[in-house]
Order: sequence, then C-alpha cells, then structure tokens
Amino acid sequence: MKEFLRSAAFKIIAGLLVVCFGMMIAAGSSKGFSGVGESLIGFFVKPFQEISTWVGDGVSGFFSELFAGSKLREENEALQQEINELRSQLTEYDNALRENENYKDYLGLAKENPDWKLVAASVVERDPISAYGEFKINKGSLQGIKERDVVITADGMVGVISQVGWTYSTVETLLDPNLNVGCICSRTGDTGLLAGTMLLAADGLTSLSYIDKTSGIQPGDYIITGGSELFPARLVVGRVQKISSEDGGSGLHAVITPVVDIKRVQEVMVITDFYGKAKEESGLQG
Amino acid sequence: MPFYRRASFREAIKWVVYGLILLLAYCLQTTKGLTVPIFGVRPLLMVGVVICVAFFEQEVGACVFAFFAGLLMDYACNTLLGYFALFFVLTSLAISFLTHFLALPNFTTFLAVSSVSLVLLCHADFFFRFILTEEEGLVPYYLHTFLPTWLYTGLTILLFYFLLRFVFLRLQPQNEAEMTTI
Repeated sequence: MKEFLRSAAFKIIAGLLVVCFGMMIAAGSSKGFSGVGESLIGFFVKPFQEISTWVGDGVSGFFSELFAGSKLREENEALQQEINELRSQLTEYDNALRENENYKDYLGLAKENPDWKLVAASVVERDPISAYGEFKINKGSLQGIKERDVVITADGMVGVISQVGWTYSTVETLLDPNLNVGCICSRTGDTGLLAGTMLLAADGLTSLSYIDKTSGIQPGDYIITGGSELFPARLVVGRVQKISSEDGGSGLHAVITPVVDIKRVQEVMVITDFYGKAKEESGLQG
Repeated sequence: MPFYRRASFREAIKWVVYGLILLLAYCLQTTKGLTVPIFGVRPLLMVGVVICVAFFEQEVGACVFAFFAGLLMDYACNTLLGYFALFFVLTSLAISFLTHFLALPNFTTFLAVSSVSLVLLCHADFFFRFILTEEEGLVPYYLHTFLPTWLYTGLTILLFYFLLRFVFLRLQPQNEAEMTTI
C-alpha cells in the first residue's frame, strides 16, 4: 500500500482526479470551457449517433408493425369505409387537405409568421434519467442555432435551446422548472408564468402560476405565449387541465397539458430568428 | 505485480476493443428503440462497462478509461463536464485496488464489488444532482424513475462482465492472463 502511494501510478491517478475537479470548476464558472469540451465530444460521437438513431428507428418500426398487425388491419378497413364517404365530398375538402399537408410541413406556420427563420432538426439522443424530458437534436451553431432559441413542432412549443455545440444542441423542455415562459390564455387573455415541477413532469404536465384570482380561465382553454424578446407571440403551449388556488390564496394556479408529447417528439423546428427578438443575451426569462 | 507495463500490440488492441464497447454502450444508452424499456426506464450501460473494465484492469488503465468514459457520460446526461468523470475515476480506483490487492478477482467478488459500487454511485449522483438542489417531488421521482434505472443498469452489468471477460482473456498478454483466476 505504501509502495502504491509513492508510485507513479498513484500520481497519475491523483492528477486525473485534480483534472476532473478542475474541469468541473472551470465548466461551472465559465460556460465557454464546457461548451468547447462538449462540442469536441459531440463532434466525435455525432456519426455514431446518426447511425444508432437510424438503426433505432428501423428497430422500433419493425416491432411496432409486428405487434400492431391485426390492429392495423381493422383500422385499415374502417379507414377504407371512411375514405369512400369522403370521396363524395372530394372537391370541397381539397383545399383543406392541402392546407393540412402544408401545416404538417410547417409551411402554414411559415406563412403566418414570415419573419421566422426556421431550422429543421431531429431528436438524436435522450437522457434516460432526465426528469424533464431533456433531449439533444442534430443541429448546432454551425447551422445558426444559438442558446435560448425556441424549439417547436407543427403543434406547438416544445422548449428552448439550453446548450449549443457545433453539431448538436440540448433542448430544455416546457416541463423544466428552469424554463419560465410568460403566457396568456387565448380565450380570456389572462396572463401567467409557465414553469414546470418535478412532480408534474413525471406525468408529462407543466404548470401555469401567478394567474389573477378573478381570471375566467377554465379547463380546456388553450395557453399561448405572450411574446417577448425571447419568445415569439401566439405559440401554442398547452391546454388547461385543472385550476386551483395558489398557496396563500393570492392567485390561481393551473396544471397544463402540453400540446406536444415532449417525451416522444422526434422531429422539431428551431426558430433562430423572429421579428423583435433580442439580439444580445438580456437575461430575461420571458 | 509491476505497475508499469510495456504496451504490446495485443494490449493496444484490447484497449481499442474496450473503447468500441464503450461507444456501443453510449449509442445503446442514448438512442430510443435500441434498448428494451422496462416500466418506461432504460439502463445506463456505460456505467456497466466502466465497472467491468475496472474489475479486470490495473488501476492506472482503469482510471484513464474511466476518465474518458465519464466525459462521454457527462455529454450524454448533460451534466457539468467532469462530474461523472470524477465519480467514475474514484469508483474505478476503488474497484481495481480492491480486486487486485485485497480480494480474489472471481465472479463472486465481481458481484459484491459491482453491487456496492452501483449503490454508492447511484446515491451519490442523486444526492449531488437532486437533493442539493432541493427540488420538489424527489421521492416519487426516485422511486419511479431514478432507482429503477439503476436497478436495470445492475442487470445489464452481468452481460458486460461476460463480454469484457472474453475480451480480457483473449487479448491480455498470455503470461498475465494465466496469473488471473477470473
């Protein structure tokens, strides 16, 4: 034992421990160090991530087809009948179907918001023990993505970019208590602050607080972003599930079901620029 | 047993194979669809690789491997760079030291050492990442997500034990392989 403590091996190991500790302190106090280190790691593992995502999608598709075969057959017969009925109204629904396809491909969003600059991305990695559904996408600073850029799908908001590497970005979701978004009820115009909790995040829910106690907000109402220098306005966030009084009775508190299934989302868009976006880090929570 | 060892070609190949297994574990751990979820949780496969390598290898090699594995784990779990690296280096040092100085490196020892390591790693991680931040809802999260993930991780360690044992015995220089009782 004494020999080991005096040996070069012990000095190497002690050096490693000091390096680890130093890296943590440097990363904690200066995001720049952490960003470069993780960018290098991300650059190295990206090809393996892309391959494993491609394989994973194939495996998932194979098993879902295998186990859902009979169910798909019944669904197919029912859909066939529905298509026959819809055929008689084909002319009338053509425009609606075209708009729906466009919406699915985000063109609808782009038309309504011509000032948005969008970058398409895919989810390549999920942290198995993240409490808030955090995930990584396959685009980074090389594609123009920056920290605090908003992440959306065709259905609504997913979260914001919390970390950016050269070829990857980490997304902090709406379930995370660190993400505070100023929101309003689309029906009543009442305002509130969206911030998740660990308890709600386990069920894929988030919460809206500081709602005025005279508010007419009800379960089923849609919650949208209020708009700020960080978040574009009128992004759908979720629907009210239930309302309760806040501790102390100073206001109301709502449980919100996000419109996007955050723990299953696969394809997203990142809004890299929009009219009114802050050009510098302002520290605002939105 | 000497601490310095002249690197042979087989030794180099062995470490390359360990590295590839680590990368494979990283891909399986982070990609949805490549591991079977049990009650919605997936295992932390890189932890198993680190523990097994520490069990088979000497302290220096095990700690250097653990350092790089820890950095990869920090990237995967989005923790502070160096966080898991520190945990893995300490764990590998303890496992390697225990195995090569104090106990016979056999399967029973492996079960004991890996179980204790997992319990300590799991709870140290939970303490530093969640208890210190004083978040609400910790108990349900611990019982429904965190603990099952690490229990599932414990089951997968057995697979890595046999795989890495095979690699170790095949590629370790012959005279040293004969000296082990694994």
